[in-house]
Amino acid sequence: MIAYNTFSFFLLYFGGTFLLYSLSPKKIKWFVLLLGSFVFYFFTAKGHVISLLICILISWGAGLLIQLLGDTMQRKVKQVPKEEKGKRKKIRDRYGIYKRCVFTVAVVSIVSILLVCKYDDFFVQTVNAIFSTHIKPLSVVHAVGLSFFVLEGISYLADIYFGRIEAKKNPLRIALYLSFMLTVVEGPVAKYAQLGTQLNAGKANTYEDVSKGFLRVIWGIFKKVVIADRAVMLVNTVFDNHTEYGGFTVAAGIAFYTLQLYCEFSGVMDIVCGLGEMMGLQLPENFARPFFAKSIRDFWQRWHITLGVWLRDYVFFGVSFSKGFRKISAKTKNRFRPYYATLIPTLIALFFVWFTNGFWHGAGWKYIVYGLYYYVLMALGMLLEPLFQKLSEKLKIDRQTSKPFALFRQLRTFFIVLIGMLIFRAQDLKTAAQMFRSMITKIDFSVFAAGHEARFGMSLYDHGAIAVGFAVLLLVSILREKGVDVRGKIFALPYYIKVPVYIAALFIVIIFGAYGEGYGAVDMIYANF
Amino acid sequence: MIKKIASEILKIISFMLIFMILLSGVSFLCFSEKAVSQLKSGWQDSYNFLSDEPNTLQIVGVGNSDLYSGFSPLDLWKQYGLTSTVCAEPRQKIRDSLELLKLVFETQSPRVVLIETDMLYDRNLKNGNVRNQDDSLEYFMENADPKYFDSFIENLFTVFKFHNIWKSEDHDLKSKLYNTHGYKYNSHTYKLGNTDYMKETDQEEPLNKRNTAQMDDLLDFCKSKNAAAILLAIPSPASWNYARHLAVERYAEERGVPFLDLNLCYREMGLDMQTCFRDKGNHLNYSGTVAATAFLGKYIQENYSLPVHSGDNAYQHWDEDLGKFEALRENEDLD
Repeated sequence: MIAYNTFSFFLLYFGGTFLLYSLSPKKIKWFVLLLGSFVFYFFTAKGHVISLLICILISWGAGLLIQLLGDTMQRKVKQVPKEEKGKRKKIRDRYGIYKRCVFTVAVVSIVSILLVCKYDDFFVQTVNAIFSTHIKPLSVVHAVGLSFFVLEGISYLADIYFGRIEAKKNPLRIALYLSFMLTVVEGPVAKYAQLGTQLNAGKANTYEDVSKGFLRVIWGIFKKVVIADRAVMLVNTVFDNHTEYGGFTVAAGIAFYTLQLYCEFSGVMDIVCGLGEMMGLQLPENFARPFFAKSIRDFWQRWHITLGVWLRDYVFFGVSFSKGFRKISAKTKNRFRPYYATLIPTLIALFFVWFTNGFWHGAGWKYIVYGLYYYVLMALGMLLEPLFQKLSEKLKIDRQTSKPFALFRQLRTFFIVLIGMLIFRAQDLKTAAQMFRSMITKIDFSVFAAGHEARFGMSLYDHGAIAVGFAVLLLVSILREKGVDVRGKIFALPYYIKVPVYIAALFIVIIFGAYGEGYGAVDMIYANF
Repeated sequence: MIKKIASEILKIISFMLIFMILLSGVSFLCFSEKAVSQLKSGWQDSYNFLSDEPNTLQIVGVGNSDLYSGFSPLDLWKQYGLTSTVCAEPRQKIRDSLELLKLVFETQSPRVVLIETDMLYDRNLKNGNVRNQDDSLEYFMENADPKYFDSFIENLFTVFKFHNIWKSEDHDLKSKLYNTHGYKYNSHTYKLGNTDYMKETDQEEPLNKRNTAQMDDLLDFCKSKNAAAILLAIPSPASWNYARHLAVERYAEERGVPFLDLNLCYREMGLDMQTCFRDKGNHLNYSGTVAATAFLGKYIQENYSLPVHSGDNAYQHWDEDLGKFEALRENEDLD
């Protein structure tokens, strides 16, 4: 896989495409993007492009068919006089069924690609474990970006089905949307209306786009190369040798992993969004300073935002508006108090959201538990909300304005997230449980011991670089949380000041990056999902 | 409007020019191979040889992490009085090994070149599945590896290659241990089961064309320098097996070079599966390295008549390096 923070990506794949895109006339800009994206995908996926091609074909064909059925329905309904409501309804129902059938078959087909390529090992192992069989998995190649373009393909079809967008006649337009080089590997998961329209519009890029976008790219590389790729050394040491550690050392391992994952994923997002900006494209944001979140729900509205939006729009609403579900809602209304009558259907729909969230992340039980861990905590929070409200009234805590209470909520959320990260990173659930137990029961302050830094594969300078990097990250995050447009302020500087600032930032990343001698190459974590 | 666009393009171009000039300047003045070797005695890792006196190295080893974890030049010196260096990086490619060897031969004339064979399986599938050798697409993809372009840029602007020099301050204990002529000390232990990982089989795990082609170049280079090449497999239960042994053995026979597979004799050399490995059996730890180095040293001594330099005043600094290394190892709980 070609990582986004390599010279080959910046200079060859993106650089070439960017140059041609900037110079080409508006009419063919989209084609330049498509060509660049296809070349990039072909090489990054090492020629394994079949899954993507099938997804493109299904999305295009089914999209057109759904659109055609919708249009035919409208035309036929119009031909029937308004007075004949029954006949009009019949036409709508009939075509509704046709549309639903096509939509369902297409979505199932796209999901099947994902299941076969990503989950076959998991299913076969589970079946073998339950029935003591010896079935061999298909071991189909897991194509790069599979989990991402599958979500986009489904969202494209769903948006046509619900009449939010019109199907594109040219399959190459869909191909560009699904294979776009900046989103195909790690997202963000964008809807066609957000991304496809922009890609196909061929908007010209300006000096401001290039300048501001480039600064964001440097910031992204800083997060990935200076912080995340350095933190990985400690993380791997602690998690790979977890039986040797306990107490603070395990806690440090989890905290460093949280830092690593955040800086790695959000760093890559900054890189791709910055590169997109350089082309004049606005990619949807995936992060909004998640560690300032005061609740789990808030956290997931700030962490991997586009996945959350996708799950909300296509799973939560999909379940909530289904016929069977509406029946359940009607029943709860009659049996429970108003608060719980609304809450229970919501909780049922949320179960599907969190199950999908966990399962999407990986083919393993730990990922399902990871999703359900958040679900259970969120559900408990919602169920006990009336109790919490009463308690805070008794304790005279103003939950909206009290600063200590806000800090408590922030710390509580952070702790919950840390445990979630432990489940996410540990080799399996058993290991996660062991590490959690040893963190609480085993006294181990060795992480603070003199000279111990080398034991984690990190020198004192690595720790220093992470500490300084983290301080800069925290400062910028606080400023941004307060609404300060840091990039805008730097861009507004006069050219003769701006150039040294940019160059200094570039040299900081070059000199203090954790790459080359003494560091292993670090893959992009989410690219494997 | 056109004037504005022209001025903006000019701004972008001048920024790029300034950056390129600075990048070249910094690379040339502060981060060139020469500058780095003058600045640091005992520069870490694969470039350690830059701080050795010309024509003092008898053995040079190239390879990936298996080699820098499994062969210790200071222990070879201690036991056999032979001078050596390890030019190994994580996931080192054969082509990178050739570039490093070329650099070594600019100042040194080693008689023996150890070529670690795990590099031959670089890019084979992790689960042991073998890629189809006749698949032209696979072969094409192998050759289109962007890593080569990245290496090209790193060689063009050496700041990318040597930027980590800021880490190697003398008071950094870890970097002191790096001054081990390329060996990377690690005493972590991972207990392995007693299953024989070198169980015999008839099936070879084929080598891919790109790697063998590059290995051919590497061997030809050694020949052109009159250096004896030895293909060497360092014990690694996690990444080596008999199928790989068979394939490399056949390749070595075809090329007429000796192949020393230490995996076949791990019991003979006294490697304890409970105490001699680390990171799930991927690499040897220091105890394993001592045993492997002793075995390798004996093989070299028996097959290549290299002069012993122990007690030679010109090589006194090797004793000093060894003393420092041992003192650090004993006094500091570092790994």
